[in-house]
Amino acid sequence: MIHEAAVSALEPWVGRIVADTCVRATALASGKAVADLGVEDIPMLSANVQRLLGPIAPVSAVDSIVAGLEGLTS
Amino acid sequence: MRRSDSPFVQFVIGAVATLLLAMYSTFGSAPEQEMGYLSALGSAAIVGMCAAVIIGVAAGFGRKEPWRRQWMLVGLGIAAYSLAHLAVAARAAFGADALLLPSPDVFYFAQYLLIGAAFVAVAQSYRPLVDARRPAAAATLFGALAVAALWFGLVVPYVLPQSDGIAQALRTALYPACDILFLFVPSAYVALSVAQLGGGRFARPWFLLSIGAVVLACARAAAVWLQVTGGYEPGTVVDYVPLLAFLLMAAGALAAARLAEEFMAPAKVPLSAPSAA
Repeated sequence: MIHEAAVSALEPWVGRIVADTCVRATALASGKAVADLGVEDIPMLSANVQRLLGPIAPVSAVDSIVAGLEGLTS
Repeated sequence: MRRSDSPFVQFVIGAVATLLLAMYSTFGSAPEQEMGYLSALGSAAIVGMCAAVIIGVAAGFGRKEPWRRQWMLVGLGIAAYSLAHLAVAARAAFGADALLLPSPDVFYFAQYLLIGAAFVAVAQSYRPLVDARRPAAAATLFGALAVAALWFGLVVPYVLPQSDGIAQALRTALYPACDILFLFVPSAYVALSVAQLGGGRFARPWFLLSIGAVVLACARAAAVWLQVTGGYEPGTVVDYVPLLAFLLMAAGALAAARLAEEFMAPAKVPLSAPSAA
């Protein structure tokens, strides 16, 4: 599942709560349940990760995490 | 020095240098006055190295990166503390008007403002992610308890009876009060905010910075306590614990640099494909 992959990727770096926040913000914005998030929601998830992690992480880290997320669409 | 050098190794090297300085000031054979300014010079050198490491780490981040501004403020604050020690050493060696240096107090207060500003900047960066009420309430409670301890444990029983006037009493109590206001409370707030989120590796540099600030505040409170109760002797452990606090802060900056460098490696993609689409 997309949300599980995203949370498990983010959690070691930012903790469970921030990882969940990124995923839940995406689900809320797209009007879906967290479990229903699909590859079509990844651009929005990437944008949320960029917005929420931008102030608390190095740019290289955020870019790398976002690239990893966008890689899920391929 | 490479940015990826181990923060732990750097901390141990700095701690050994601090220990050697402490041993020299305790067992050295130089005259007392000379020992005083040599110890101040040694402290300034160790703290100056910490500041240089942190400023170097901060400068390594891009201009628009928040970590650059936050760590730069920490580095400049520690550099101000180092300059304060240099001013103390110069005054001990050449007299109060030595080299037209300003009073060490100017540098000490610059240090409070700069490190305090760094904590405010870090707290602001976490604000969209945390429920600020609980860490703010807890940090305020800790601060109130520390102020009460300062007032009832130090000012009332020792400072007021020994001071010639209210101005002298205020001056004695000012540094511990600034330690509480600019270091203890903001560092408690940042540490509690980050802990509320469950940690994560991006939080570790701020934990090290916060622990360093708390250690610094406690060590200086202990030094003031010993001074007003007559138990203070120059060159004892309370003079060197602050150096360990700055080493912890430098270790935090190196941990931050190490994290950033991990993501610069092209092979590093910290995301695995989902188990099911």
